[in-house]
Amino acid sequence: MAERSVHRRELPAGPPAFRHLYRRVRAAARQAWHFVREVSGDDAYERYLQHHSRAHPGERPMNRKEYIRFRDEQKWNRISRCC
Amino acid sequence: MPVSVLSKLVWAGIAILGASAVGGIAIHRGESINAIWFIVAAVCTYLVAFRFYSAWIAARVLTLDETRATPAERFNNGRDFVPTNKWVVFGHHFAAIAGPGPLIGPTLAMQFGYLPGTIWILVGAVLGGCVQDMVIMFCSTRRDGRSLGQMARDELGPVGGWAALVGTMMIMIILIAVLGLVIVKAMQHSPWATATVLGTIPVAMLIGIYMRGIRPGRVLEGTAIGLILLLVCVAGGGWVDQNEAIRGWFDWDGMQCAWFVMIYGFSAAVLPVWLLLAPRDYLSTFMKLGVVFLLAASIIVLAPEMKMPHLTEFAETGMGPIFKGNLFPFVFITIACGAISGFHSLVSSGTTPKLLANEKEIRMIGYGSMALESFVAIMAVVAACVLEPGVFFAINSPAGVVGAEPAAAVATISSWGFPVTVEQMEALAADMGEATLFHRTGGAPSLAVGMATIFSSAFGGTLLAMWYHFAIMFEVLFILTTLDAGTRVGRFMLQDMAKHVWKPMGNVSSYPMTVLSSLIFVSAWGYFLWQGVHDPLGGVNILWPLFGISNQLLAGIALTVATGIIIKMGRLRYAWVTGLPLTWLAIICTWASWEKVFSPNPAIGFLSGAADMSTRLAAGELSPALAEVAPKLIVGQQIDAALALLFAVILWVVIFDMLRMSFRYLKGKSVLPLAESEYLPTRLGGNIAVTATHG
Repeated sequence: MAERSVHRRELPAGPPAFRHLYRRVRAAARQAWHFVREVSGDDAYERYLQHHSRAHPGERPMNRKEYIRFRDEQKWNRISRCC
Repeated sequence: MPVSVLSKLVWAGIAILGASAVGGIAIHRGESINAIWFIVAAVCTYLVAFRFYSAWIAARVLTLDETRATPAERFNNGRDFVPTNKWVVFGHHFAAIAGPGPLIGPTLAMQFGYLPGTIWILVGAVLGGCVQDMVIMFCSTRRDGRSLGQMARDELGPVGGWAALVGTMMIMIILIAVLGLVIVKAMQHSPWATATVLGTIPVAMLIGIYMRGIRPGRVLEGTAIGLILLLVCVAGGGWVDQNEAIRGWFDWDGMQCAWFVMIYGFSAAVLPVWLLLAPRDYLSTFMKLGVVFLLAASIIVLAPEMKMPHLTEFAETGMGPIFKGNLFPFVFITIACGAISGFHSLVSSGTTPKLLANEKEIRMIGYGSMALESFVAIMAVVAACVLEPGVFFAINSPAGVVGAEPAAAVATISSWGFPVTVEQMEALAADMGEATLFHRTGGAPSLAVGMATIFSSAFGGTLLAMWYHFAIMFEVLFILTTLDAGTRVGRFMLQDMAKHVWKPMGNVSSYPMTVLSSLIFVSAWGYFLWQGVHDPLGGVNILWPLFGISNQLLAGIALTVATGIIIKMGRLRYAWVTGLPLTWLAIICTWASWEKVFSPNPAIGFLSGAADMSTRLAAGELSPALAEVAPKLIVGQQIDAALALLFAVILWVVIFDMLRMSFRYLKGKSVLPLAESEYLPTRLGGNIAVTATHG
C-alpha cells in the first residue's frame, strides 16, 4: 500500500534519472519515518488495532486511552531497563 | 567468484587494520595517542568478531534454525508476543540494555591508565558479554520466552532457580544504591545541576499528562516537546545559579541529595507509570541515543589526543585514589557493563525473545547490541582520557584520600607525577559554571567535563558551562530511569517473594501493600546509599566493587545456565564458548570477593576497614562528624563483607549444581530434561518489514 501511494503522487518535471532518484529518496524517507514511528511506539495503537481486527474480528478493541494505559503497565512491570 | 574474492579481501583488510590499531595502542609509549586509534581498534574488533565468531556460534554451537517458529509467531497476541521487524527489535533491545553503567565503570577504571580497561572492554565484550547475551536470548527463545530465573529452575533445578532469584534481587539493590550515589555526587553543592535535575521532573509529568490526556500515545510529539523543555531546564539551571537570592535553595549537601533520590525512587514506584516513569523514559531514551551518536561523531571529527598514560602506578600498588585494589582483579570488576554485564541476561530472556520474528535474528540482536554497548564504553574511555590526568584525578579523588584543601589535593596528585595546579582547577570550574571541581567523585562530573570539552571543541569552542550541565542532565536523566524502573520492578519481586511468608503482601493491586513493599525496597537500597554518602573514602570505593561483583555474579549464573544447556544439547565440545568466560568470571568474582572481605588493607577489606574504624573511634582520632556516624558505618562494612561473601558462595553453589547435573548427563544418568519447546515450522515468509499503519 505504501508503494502504491508513492507511485500515484505527482512527480516533479525533469529528466527520468532525476525522477527516478526523487522516487527512491521519497520511498526511503517514508520507510525511515515508519521505522521511527514503530521503534518509538508512536504507532503502537494502530498496530494493536490491525492485530485485533485480524485476530478477533467483530470484538470491540480497547480504545486508545485504555490501550496506552494497558501497554505502559505491562512494560514497566518487568525488567525493561538495565544498568 | 569475484564477489567472494572481494569480500575476502575486504575482511582481510578490516582484520589487518583492527590488529594494527590494537597493536598500536598496546605498544604505544609516548606523550599522547590519538583517540581515533581506539575507535578504529574497537570497530574493527567488533566487525571481525561479529562476522566470524558470532556466525560460527550461530551455525555450530546453537544451530539457529530459520525454519522454526519463534514464540512471537506462535503466541502472537498483539501485546507482549509480537513478531517485529529486526531493526525495531534491535532498537528496543539496545535501548533496554544500554544504561549508565558503560559510561561510569570505564571512567573509574581509567585510574589504571587506558590500556587495561580498553583491552578488557574489547576482549570481554566479544568473548564474554556478546556471547552471554546471544546464548541466553537463544535459550529463552527456544523456551517460549521464559526468564533467566525460570530457565535456571527448569534446567538446573530449585537450587539454580533460587540462586538466580536472590542474585537478581541483590544486584538490583546494590545497583540502585550506587547509581543513586553517582547522582548525589553530581548534584552535591551544585545549584545549577540540582535545579536542572529538579526541573526535569515537572517536564516529565507534563509530557506524561500530554501523552495520556491531551494526545494519548503520541510518543513522538510528546518527546519532541519534552526534549525542548529539557534544554530550557539546562539554561534555567544556569539562571538559578547566577541568581544570588535563590541559588542557596538548590545548594544541597550529600544527605539532602540522597533524600531527594530516595523520595524520587519511592514516588516513581507508587505513582501511576504514565505520570512520571513512562514519559521520562521516552525522554531519556531519545537523549541517550542522540548523545551517543553526537559523541561518536564529535570524537571522529575532532580526533582528540589521549593524555592519560597507558598504565599508572596504581595498577601495581593498588593504592589508586578512586578505588583501592590492584589491576587484577579490580579492573574486571569495575568495568562490568561494556565488557560483560549479567543484568543483560534479564532483558535477553523474557523480554526481547517475545518480539523476535525469526531465530536467525538472535545473532544480530543479541551479539550486535552488546557490541554497540561496548563501543559506548570505549567512548567513555576516550572522554576520560582526553582530560589532563592531573585534572582527571583532582575531580575523581575523594577528600579523604588526597586532602580536603585544594592546595593539599594538588600537591598529592602532582606528587604522583600528574601535575595540576589550583589555578588550573579554578579556571576549569569557572568555565564549567561550578563552584569547585575538586573531590567530585562518582565518575559523572569527570565524564561531563570530558564530554563538554569534546562537544564544545566540536561546536566552535563555546558554551562550556552549558555543555557541562547538559551532560550532567543527560547522565542523571537516564540514571533516574534505571533507578525508578528498578525500584518498581524490585517492589514486584519483593512482593512475589514475600507472599510465601505473608500472603496478603503478594497482592500487587492493593495500595497499602504497594506502599509498604516500595518502602521496604527503597529502604534497602537507601541504606547502602546512606553508607556511601557518609563513607570518608567517598562511597565509590565501597559500593562500585560490590555492584561489579554482583553484576558479574549474575553473568556467572547466566553463563552457568547456558553452559548446562549446551552440554544437555549434546554439544559438550562447544561448552567452552560459555565455559571460558564463566571460568574467568568465577576466578575474578571469587578473587575480588575474597579481597573485599579479607584484605588486611583497611581501604580494601571490609572487615579490616570496620576494625580500623573501631580502633580509630576508640582512640578518638575521628572528626566529631565522622565519630557520630562511625558505629553505623562499622556495622555497614560488616554487612558489606557478608554480602560479598554471599555473592561468591551463591556463584559456586550454582556452578557446582551445573557440574553435578552435567556429569550425571554425561554418564547417562537421569537429569531434568531439556525444556526446549517442540519444533513448529514458521509460516512467516522471510523478514517482517517496517510497514505503514493507518489511523
